[in-house]
Amino acid sequence: MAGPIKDCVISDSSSNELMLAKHVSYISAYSKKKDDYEYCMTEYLRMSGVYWGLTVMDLMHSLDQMDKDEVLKFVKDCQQECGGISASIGHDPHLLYTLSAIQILTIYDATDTINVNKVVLFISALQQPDGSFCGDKWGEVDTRFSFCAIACLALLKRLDAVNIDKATQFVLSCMNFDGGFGCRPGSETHSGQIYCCVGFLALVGGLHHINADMLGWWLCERQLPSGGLNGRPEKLPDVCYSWWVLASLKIIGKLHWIDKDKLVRFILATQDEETGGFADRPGDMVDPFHTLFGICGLSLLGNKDIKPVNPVFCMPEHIIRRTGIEMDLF
Amino acid sequence: MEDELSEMCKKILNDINAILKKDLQIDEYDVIPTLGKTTLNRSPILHEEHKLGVESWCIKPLFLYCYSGLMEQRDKMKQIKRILDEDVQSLLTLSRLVVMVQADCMTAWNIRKELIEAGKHKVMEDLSLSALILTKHPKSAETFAHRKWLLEKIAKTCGAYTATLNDTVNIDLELQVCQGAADRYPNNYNAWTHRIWVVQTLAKEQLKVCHKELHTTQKWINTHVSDHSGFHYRQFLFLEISKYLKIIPQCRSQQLDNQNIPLEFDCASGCSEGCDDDCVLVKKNISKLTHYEKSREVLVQLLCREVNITTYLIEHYPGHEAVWYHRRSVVWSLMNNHNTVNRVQTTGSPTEEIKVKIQRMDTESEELIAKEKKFSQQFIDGSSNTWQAMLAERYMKWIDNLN
Repeated sequence: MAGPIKDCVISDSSSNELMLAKHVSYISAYSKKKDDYEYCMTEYLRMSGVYWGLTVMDLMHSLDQMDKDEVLKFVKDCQQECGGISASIGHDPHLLYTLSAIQILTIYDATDTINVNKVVLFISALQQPDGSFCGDKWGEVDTRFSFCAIACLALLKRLDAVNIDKATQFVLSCMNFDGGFGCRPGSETHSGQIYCCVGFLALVGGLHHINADMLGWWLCERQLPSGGLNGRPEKLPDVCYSWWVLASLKIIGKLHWIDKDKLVRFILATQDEETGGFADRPGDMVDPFHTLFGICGLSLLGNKDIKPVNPVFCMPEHIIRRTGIEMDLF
Repeated sequence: MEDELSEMCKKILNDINAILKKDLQIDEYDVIPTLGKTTLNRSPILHEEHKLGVESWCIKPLFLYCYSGLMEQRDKMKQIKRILDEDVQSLLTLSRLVVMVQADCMTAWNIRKELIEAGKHKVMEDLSLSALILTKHPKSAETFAHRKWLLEKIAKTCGAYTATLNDTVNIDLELQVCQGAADRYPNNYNAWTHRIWVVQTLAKEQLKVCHKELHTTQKWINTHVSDHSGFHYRQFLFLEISKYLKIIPQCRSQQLDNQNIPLEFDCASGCSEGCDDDCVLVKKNISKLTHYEKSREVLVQLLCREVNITTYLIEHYPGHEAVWYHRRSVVWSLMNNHNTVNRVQTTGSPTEEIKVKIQRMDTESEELIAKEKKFSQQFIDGSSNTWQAMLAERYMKWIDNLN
């Protein structure tokens, strides 16, 4: 019996050249498209969608094609009375979309668009006695929210507003025997959660808590024969996990442990040569989410046509430099 | 045209309402693919054997109608800062359809939470609804988050999880919901994470529940050898049991023997299958041991049996990374257990008896490592399946690093 390895095949005919111009027009067109159904179905995460679009356009030297005034007005309108920011107008505030909004405003160097003090109050009020963060007032806890809170405060230069030691203790309590992290204590290791926890530790100067060899080994085992990376054992390779695993490896200084050429080949094969954009796997439908992570992955892997990306914030490096934020990477 | 469309949507919503009201045992919902619109005169809602079906052609207009209606009403709610009684029914109907189509629309779930907070809607009804939604969207994070909120709400209202609900029934139901979602979607992170939360938070007799869960999930993993999330759940259960044991030595052992600490397993039958002579644990006459020692021995036996389960699965289903990873965890737990015993017992100056024990533990650890190396070597050398050989090689490397 052949091994039941879950992977995909990259055909010889699949693209192996980066089609930047196509991707620029794909994102540009997507941001203008307002098909009723698609638009309403995805409105619950609109703020993140805007952040994906702006970040990828800046990385592709095309930020000027986006409507800055419209974006800033949208972000402003999404700040709620409590200070938190919602995914869209009429939706409820949440840390996930608050981070996307702060990232957007940082890209445009326009944090004064919103009431920063109120955002800081919103975030600090979500910290729990055990150091964890709820995503909103309804109480769900997740290490993703720990990352969102700390990333927002770092961008706003207000890390003093929360208890960093407690927050760190909570994140470390989610570490597993394999060196990875889950969403809460006892939860399974997951590449997305690893990215959040490793990013969190980079921002609070806590990377020494990580066993970089052990975690790096686990992350490298995500690479499949196709070159793509999956997020957990026996899952299919996916461009977005390629980013989360890759960024984590970069932060802990083990990027050289994977086969870069094969991963580049995998990411390029997920491009749609006609419409532009990247999909999760070769041959699937493209979307802005995977387009961002495809471009970010290629940037980390050294593509010179794309601007360098910051592995912690998943934002253009030149913007993070401008903010003067320091973080300890391995 | 516009009016016609909204009339149609209202009619469909009425049909759904009527069915859900009439049949309280609906246990599954799905969208039925259709090629374009079916006969005008027939409702696109199907109801058979407690299953609810919605024909796909009507999803788009129905969702748009409900979503925009819900957002409008939400706006009104915010402006007048309260919920009018006459709006409650439509808020419930519209938000229900929205989450039936887009289960991760957090705001729609939040509206339902607000209605519950305001005393205008029942917790139990949303427990049923969210369970139904999970049959269509088994990995929806927001649906699980909503359930968690509902269950915590019950706890707060009642002061304890047991006050009005039969505790065991409630937990069993919750575990069943998780099981259903895990069956419907492989490697379902949110379902298994929710299940962990249930054991950590809702279970009153945690140790007992952990052992019961180990028992109930054993069959499942044998038929789901690719599902790492399922294996991880068992890893979590072992850790919970060992955590419980770590608390015990801090108390005086005499006191402990008088306390009713549940030893919820039948050891003899527990290790009769799978725990062969090859096992690192030398079988002992456990009746002579203290309660703590007894519990520890049982844990070690369970872990040994788990190693044997992975041996069986690796041999019969070659090339499954999830099984090899599970073995890493179980062997790590065994090693960790040995080390913990050493640490606990060496506080203060060790007696001769303890020195002997530590010696025995060290030997056991060394034997375990040697055995694991031998185990992986046979697949590196003799496997015709290259992926299996690769996994064995990685396992060997992991064992080397464990030293």
